[in-house]
Amino acid sequence: MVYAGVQGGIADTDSQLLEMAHVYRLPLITRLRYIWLPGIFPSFCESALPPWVCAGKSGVSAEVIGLPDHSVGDALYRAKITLSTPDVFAWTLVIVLLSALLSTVAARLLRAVKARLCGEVQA
Amino acid sequence: MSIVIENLCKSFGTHAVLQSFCWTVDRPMVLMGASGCGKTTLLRILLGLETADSGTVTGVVTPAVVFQEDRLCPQLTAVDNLVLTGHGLTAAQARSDLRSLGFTEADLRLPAVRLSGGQKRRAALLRALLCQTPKRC
Repeated sequence: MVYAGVQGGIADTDSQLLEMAHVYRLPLITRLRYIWLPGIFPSFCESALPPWVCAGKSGVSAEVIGLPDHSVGDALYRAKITLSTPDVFAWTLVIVLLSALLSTVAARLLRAVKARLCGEVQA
Repeated sequence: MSIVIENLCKSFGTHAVLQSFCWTVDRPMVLMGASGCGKTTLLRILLGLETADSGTVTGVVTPAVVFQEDRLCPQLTAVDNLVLTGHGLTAAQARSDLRSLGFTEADLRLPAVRLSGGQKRRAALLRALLCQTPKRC
C-alpha cells in the first residue's frame, strides 16, 4: 500500500519543476528537498496511515498469540479463558481507544511534517 | 560569447523537426517561425531538456529561461525561489530586487502559490535575470 502510494507520488511529481531544476542546475539534494519530497509526501501520508493503524491492531493480535507478560493481548486472552466477560469488554475498549489514539497521533505527526515540507500547497 | 549550432537534427518518430540546422547567435536575436516548425524543440535542446539526434551546440554556459508557465516552487516564498536558483544570490539582494518590482513586505512572506499571476511572472522573470553561474555543475 505504501509502495503504491510512493510510486504514485513519484509519478505525480511536477515535471515542469523538474525541468526548471535541470535548467537552473539545482543540486540533487535541493531537488529532493524542494521538488521530490513535496511531490511524494502527500501520497505517502495517505497511504501510510491505514497500515500504521493496522500495525497497532496486529501487535495486539500477536500479543494474544505470544502472551508476553503485562501486555494487553495477554490480559485479553486471560479474560477470555476465565470467562470474565466484563474484563473482555474492558480490554477490547482499551484496544479500540489505543488504536484511535495511535491513529490520531500518527495523523497529526504526518500532517505536521507535510506542512513543513509542502507548505500550504497540499491540503 | 556566441552560441554556435551546427548541423542540428532532431526527429520525433518519422517527423523531422530540425534538419541540419545551423545558426550562430552572437547578439540578441529573435526566433520566429510558423507553429510546429521547431522553435520550442530548438530552445529545449539549447537548455538541455531534449537531446539532438545529431549535430553540436556550443557556447551555452549559464542557461536561464522564463518559461511559459511560472514554474516557481509553490511552497516557497518568492525570495526563497530566487535564492534557490540564484547559486550564491543572497536573500537580502533577492528581497531588495523584488521590492523594487512592487512586492510589499506582506507579499514577500507569502508562499508562491498565494501570489497573484503578475507577481509570479515578475518573480520568474527576476529569477532568470539574477541567475548566476553555478559553482559546481
